[in-house]
Amino acid sequence: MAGKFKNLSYIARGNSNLGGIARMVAFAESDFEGGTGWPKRADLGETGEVTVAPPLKDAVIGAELSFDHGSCRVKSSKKGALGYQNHDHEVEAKFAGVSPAQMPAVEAFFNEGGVIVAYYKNGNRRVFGASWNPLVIEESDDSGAKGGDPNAISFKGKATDLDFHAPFLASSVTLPTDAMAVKAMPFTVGA
Amino acid sequence: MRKKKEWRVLPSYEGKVSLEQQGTGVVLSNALSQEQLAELAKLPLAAGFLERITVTPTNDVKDEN
Repeated sequence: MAGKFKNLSYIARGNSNLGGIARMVAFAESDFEGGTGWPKRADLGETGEVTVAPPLKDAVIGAELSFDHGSCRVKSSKKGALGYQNHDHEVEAKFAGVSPAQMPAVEAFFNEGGVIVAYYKNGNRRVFGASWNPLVIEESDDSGAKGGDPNAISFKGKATDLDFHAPFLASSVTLPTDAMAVKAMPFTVGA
Repeated sequence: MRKKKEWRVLPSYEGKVSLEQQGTGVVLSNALSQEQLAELAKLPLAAGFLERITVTPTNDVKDEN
């Protein structure tokens, strides 16, 4: 009889394994229909992927967060004493510039939680936060002190006490995205 | 002339919205066939971007003179 634990190995040799995140698409907590939240533990298939489409309100399009190269990371962690463990999801990124054109997008995060789909550099999609327990988004901007310093907006989102690691999104799940806003990606972008 | 129903992308979303799966997808456009639009309309996520309108086909013949 197989034990409860399963074999766990590093990725097979000879494969690409680039660090960092290439793309983020964000949905606000209020973009979702009420009632059944998304994603929830019951949405995860046998492989732990989310196989259920997000229950978005009519005509909602995800916001494309086009961050500086090499600035975006995502984390999913499990913590706690045996019998009381839970999970935290975190995302962070930086956006060059601090300008009036960027401020309305920043202001939209004010007292508004979110769910973010992060795209790894091989195109795999992973969901951070949940509509029933959204990422709480904090951002700050800093002019730097001299010409070579980054004049940038820093963005962080964190959701605590979820009952699953940030789940991968099954390849068949459809998301509505902004066709005009997506930048060049190291993987095939859907449409 | 018999009227018929057609699916259309709402003008404000024409060419602007992708319905993406991983590595594939489609940009909503009225250049898509009626069959494609009808399939997309079955997706709850797509419903808000599409409308079903009644059109009257015309038999206009192009004047080639």
